[in-house]
Amino acid sequence: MALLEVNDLSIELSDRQGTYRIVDGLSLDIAPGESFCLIGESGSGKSVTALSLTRLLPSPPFSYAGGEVRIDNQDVFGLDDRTLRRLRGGKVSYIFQDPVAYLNPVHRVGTQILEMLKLHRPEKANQERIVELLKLVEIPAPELRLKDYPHQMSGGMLQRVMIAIALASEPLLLVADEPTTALDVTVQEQILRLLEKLRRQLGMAVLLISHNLGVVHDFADRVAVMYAGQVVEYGKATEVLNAPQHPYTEALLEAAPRIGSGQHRLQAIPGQVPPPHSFPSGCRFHTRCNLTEPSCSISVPPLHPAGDGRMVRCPIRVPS
Amino acid sequence: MKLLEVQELEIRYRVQGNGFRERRYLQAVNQISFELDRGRTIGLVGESGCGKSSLARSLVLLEEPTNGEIRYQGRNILNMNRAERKDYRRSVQMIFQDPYGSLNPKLTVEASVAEGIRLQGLMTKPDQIQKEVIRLLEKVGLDASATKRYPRQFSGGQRQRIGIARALAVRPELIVCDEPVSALDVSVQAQVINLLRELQTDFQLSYLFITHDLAVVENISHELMVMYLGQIVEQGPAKKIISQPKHPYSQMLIASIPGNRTEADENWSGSRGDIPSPLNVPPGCPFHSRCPLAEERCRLERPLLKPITPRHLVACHLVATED
Repeated sequence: MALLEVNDLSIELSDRQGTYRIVDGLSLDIAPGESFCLIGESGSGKSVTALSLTRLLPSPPFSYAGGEVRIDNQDVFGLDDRTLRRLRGGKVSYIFQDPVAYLNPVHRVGTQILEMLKLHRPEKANQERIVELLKLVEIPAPELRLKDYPHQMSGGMLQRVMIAIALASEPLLLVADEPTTALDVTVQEQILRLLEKLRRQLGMAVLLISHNLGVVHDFADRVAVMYAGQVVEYGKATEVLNAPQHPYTEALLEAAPRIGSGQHRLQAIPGQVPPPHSFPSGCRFHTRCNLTEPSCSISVPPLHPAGDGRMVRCPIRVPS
Repeated sequence: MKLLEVQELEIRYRVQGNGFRERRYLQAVNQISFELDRGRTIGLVGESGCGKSSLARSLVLLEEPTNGEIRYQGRNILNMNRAERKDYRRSVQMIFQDPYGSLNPKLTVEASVAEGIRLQGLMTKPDQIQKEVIRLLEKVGLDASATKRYPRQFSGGQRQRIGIARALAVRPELIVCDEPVSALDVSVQAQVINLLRELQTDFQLSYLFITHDLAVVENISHELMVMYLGQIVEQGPAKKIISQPKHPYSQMLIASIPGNRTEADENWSGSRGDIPSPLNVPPGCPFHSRCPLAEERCRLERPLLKPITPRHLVACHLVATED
């Protein structure tokens, strides 16, 4: 049975000008221990989706406009505040892009891990467990480093501390929102390998959010590609990335310069990612698509199954 | 004559020490030499803190080198007179990483792009300037309707185009591009890279292209320098370094690119360690603390950048000259 199930989730954002649907009819499921990736460019709705899983979005300006989120067979929208607080950082932990912004600069990193243990695993709130967690995230000399303040550590080390804090509650699902985007490439590689090792060792599921197709390629079992608030393609990572069916996935893969391909003109996608207040009618990608037909601007195409768990939102590529 | 020649450039910053009267120096750029021809691109890759931005800033006179020479068309830029300096500031322009922070939010696009033209006295009649601004905006893929709008009304990719138009306005010969596409989405990044390539052909521009993304650098550069803690560890034809990196650091960088791992690399032991602080550069080879091949000699003796083929330089004790 799935650990996380999202069914037809829609999220709206309101401002003075109006209300926009920034996540539209999103469904996905993650099995225990699985690594799942949400791919998308800025503004595609991937981070909002991640935060909505434990109702972390402030309302207003955000509001839930329908759908259901179930974690470990609990309906997240039906939970009372107390249970919800235990879920956040408990069964579901988060790490984010910028560890510096999420650590308290005036407390030692050991204290910040202890805080999490006290909250979610009070029986283990002791020094040994802190050292164990720092060892788990491969911080050298953990007995000494737990006395460090955040400013004494490098970006890569801080992200490891963030992961240690996230692991303190022994979560079933770790949501990693662009965890390596701010890091240098050699450190990024170390953090990704660490996440992969922890996933296997601890058996927790990981939901990775990234715009970097290479990261996704190395990490994910299954992926969902988002564009302008909608999933446009969904399926096994190797299949989606090696044989994309939606024109957006295809164009995105073509647009990224690849190492070893020498000097050539890149296949850019024309135009810009549309902002929420001007999502095009019909298929939201039709204004930038090279396959577009007159019908594309009229009705929103549904996600259509394309075999083997694959879903594609394009009536031209996958006719219903 | 080369357009740009940099010889043994050093930039050192004095930083606060721990105790009284203690002086510490941060060697941001250490003994860097390179040349750049008209219409060519030299790429500079390295991780954060390696000194690549210091190097860039010294070329546009935002930073004064501690030692070494920068020659532009044969003239040393550090002892130019006022008029020469003004012309140098025109001919060398810079494009920045953050298209949000590098445009004045209170100026219309027209005012931003026209600023350089006016300051350099290239044109004086308002209608002539306006025509030129529109021509430049069209050149970078925007249209005349952009002139009266403000930066906040544009997306990141469009702002980067405005930044490029602004640099082009004064008809430069060399553009220093400091991570120009790092903040952009993949779909837009390709547009900007293609634009930079077109402009290079149209105007015979030279680029110093700084990035941490090796795939981008391979796409745009003819020559490449790999920088680590202020020093160049490998320098030569971009294609060659990317396909057959010789320095262990270049190898580590290339193997770390996500999505680049192949079956054969599955048992690759991976990158190790963190970049040491530039305040505390290890003695000997700066990379020895993370190098899988390091020997006793690497800890003691700093390797010099030496040719392994006439145009391909590597600073590593363990790499032999190719005959």
